[in-house]
Amino acid sequence: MLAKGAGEDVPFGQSSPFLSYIPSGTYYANLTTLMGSPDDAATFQKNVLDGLNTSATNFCPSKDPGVLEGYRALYSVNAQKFLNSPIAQVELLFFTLGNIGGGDQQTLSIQIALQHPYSQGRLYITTNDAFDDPALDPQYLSHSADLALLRQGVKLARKIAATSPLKDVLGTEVTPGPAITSDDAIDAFVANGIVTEFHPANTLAMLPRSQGGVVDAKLRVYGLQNVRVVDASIFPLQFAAHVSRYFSSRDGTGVDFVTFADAMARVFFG
Amino acid sequence: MQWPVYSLAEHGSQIIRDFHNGVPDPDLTTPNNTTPGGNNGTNPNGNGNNNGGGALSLSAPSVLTSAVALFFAALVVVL
Repeated sequence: MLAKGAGEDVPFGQSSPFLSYIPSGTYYANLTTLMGSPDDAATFQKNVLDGLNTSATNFCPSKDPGVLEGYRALYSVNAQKFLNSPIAQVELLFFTLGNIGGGDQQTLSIQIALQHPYSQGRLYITTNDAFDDPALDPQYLSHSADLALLRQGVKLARKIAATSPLKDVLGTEVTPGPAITSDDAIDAFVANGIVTEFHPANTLAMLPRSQGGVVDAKLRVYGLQNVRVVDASIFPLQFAAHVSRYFSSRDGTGVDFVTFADAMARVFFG
Repeated sequence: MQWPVYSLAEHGSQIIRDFHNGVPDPDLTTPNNTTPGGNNGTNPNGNGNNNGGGALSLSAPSVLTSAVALFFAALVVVL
C-alpha cells in the first residue's frame, strides 16, 4: 500500500497502478485485467475498432466532413493508443461508506470509475447572450463500450470482494446484491445509478482545424488573435487522472500543463 | 449508486460505531503504546493532538486502514 495521492499522473495515463489515501485505496485496471485475458482484451479492442466509423457517424452532431473526421481521430486515438495498453480503463476506489440506509451497519464500497469514455457529450449555445449558461448533454453510456467496461469493472470489484483476506471481514453485498448476476442485470444496475466524477473537460478540443478543432497545438483559438485557452476544455479526451493535476505542477508532483499540451499535440497533430 | 457496496463484518462495524460514540476500544487502551509521546490511548476525542497520538485516536482508522490493506491483499491474489 502506497500512501500517495493521485499525483503520479503522466500524460495520457497513470504510472502507479496502486494508490491509496488512508482509509481508502485505489487501483487502476487496464483492459487485460478487466477482460480476464490478453485474447479477450484484443477481441474487445477489435470490436471497438471495427465500429469506429459507425461510432463517429452516430455520435458526431455535425454533418461537416471535417468535424466527422475529428470524431474519427478521437475514437482512433482512444481505441488504438489507450484501450489495449497498460493505461487504465477503469479505476476502482475502495472506501468506507458509513451506515447507509439508516441502519447502524457500517459499509465498505468499491466504486468503479470509467477513465476514457467513448460516449461523447455535447455542449450547446442556447442564446446569443454570452453570459447565458450553455446546455450540456453528457450522453452518458450512449456508446456500448462504456457500459461493457463498467460491467467488467463491477465483476472485478466483486471478484476482489469475494477473495480472501478481504472477504473474511465483509458481511453481505448490499448493492447490487446477490440477485444481480447476468450481464443485462449488471448493465441495468450501472445505468440506473451512474453519476459523474466531476472531471469537466473536452469542450474546446485541441485538434487540427480541418478536424473541427477549437484550439491549435499552441492553445490558440482558431480564427482569433491573441486568444488562448489554458484549461481542461482543450483536452480532446478524458485521461486517467484528475484534470487538476495538469495545472498544479509547482509542487513537483504534477505534469506541467504546457509540457502536457505539447505531448498531446504530438498525438493529434502528428 | 452504481458500485458494489458491502456490509462490514460485525466486529469491525462495532469498533467504528464505538469510535463515533467515543467508547474506548478495549483492545487498544492498554498502557503499552509505544508511539513516541503517546499515552495509554484514553483520549475520548480520539484526536491524539495533546498526547502524541493516543491509541484510541487510531482505533477506527486502524480498522479502515486494515480494510484497505485487505483490499490490496485480495487484489494481489486476483491479479
